[in-house]
Amino acid sequence: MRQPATRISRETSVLARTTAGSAALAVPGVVDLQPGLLDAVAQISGGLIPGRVPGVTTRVLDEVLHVDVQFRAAADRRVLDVAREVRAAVTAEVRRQTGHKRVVVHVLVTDAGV
Amino acid sequence: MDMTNEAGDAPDALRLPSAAELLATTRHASAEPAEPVSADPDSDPLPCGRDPEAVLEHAAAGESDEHERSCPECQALLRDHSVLDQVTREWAELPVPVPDDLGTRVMRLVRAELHTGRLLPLGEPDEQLTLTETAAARTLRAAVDAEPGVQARSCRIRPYENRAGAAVPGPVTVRLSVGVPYGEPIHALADRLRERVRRAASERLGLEVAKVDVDVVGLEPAAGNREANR
Repeated sequence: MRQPATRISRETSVLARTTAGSAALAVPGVVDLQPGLLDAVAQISGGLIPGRVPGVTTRVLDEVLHVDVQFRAAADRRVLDVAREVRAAVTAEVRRQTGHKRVVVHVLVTDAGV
Repeated sequence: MDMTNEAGDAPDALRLPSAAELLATTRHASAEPAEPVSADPDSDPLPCGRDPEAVLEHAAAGESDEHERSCPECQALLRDHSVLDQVTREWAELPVPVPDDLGTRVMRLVRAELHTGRLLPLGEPDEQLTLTETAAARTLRAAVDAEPGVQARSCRIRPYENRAGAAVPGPVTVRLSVGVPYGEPIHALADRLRERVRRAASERLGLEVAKVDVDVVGLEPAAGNREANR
């Protein structure tokens, strides 16, 4: 039987999202984070939802902090290489900033820069 | 909602009272001035040991126990929450200007979200890297379009699937539909297109391609005929 999801504080989850977003954007070959539908609708409606980072979501399952990052890649680097680098950078930074050791990063590339 | 004051005049620029003003009003009205409790329902318990979220839930359900009704920390949390609740309600009732094209823009986003296609796993199974079919197809179509006279019409990419039918990293299957120039030997052209697709998938995306099916769905005028017909 699985253990129930462990909650982390709101501050930690917001810190994880902002850290992940900035770490991903710092990787060469990342054009922009890709907002999900909710954040995209919020943006065109005139604002952002507090605490959310467009393109980054977090959840905790079995004490593992899962970070989902969606971004658009540039055309000048191989998408697989950029995705690997984003995963490594986000994992390292989220661990360092939040102190949460068990971090799994899921990367989704939504554009390959054609 | 009637926003006019007692004199019948509208307040200047729909100014809402600040949180500090509201807090001052509620503290003045309460019998016992208490320190505001900055408890976040998602974090640590109150100094009295109670869970802030539980205190709020009990109050909302009308089921506060004796401690919650008499404890200064619990009561301060409820007062601060009621201030936030009041501000939220007032803001919710404010008229919101809605752009005329908001619905159109939202539907455009929804369609774009729906058109991501399949998700293609990249790299190794434990890397959790994924690429949308739409993004990959765009890259492969551009590679096909680079062949003189050829026009890529559609590109579908099927991920590698394990025995359970789940998409896992592995060689993908590509199905292209193209328009080709009239008179061009189709088999040789199809082989060149396959090579372009494999190279683009490997060098641009990092995807291995198991098979490329090419459907010729149109014949384009040869380049020379296009010039003559102008």
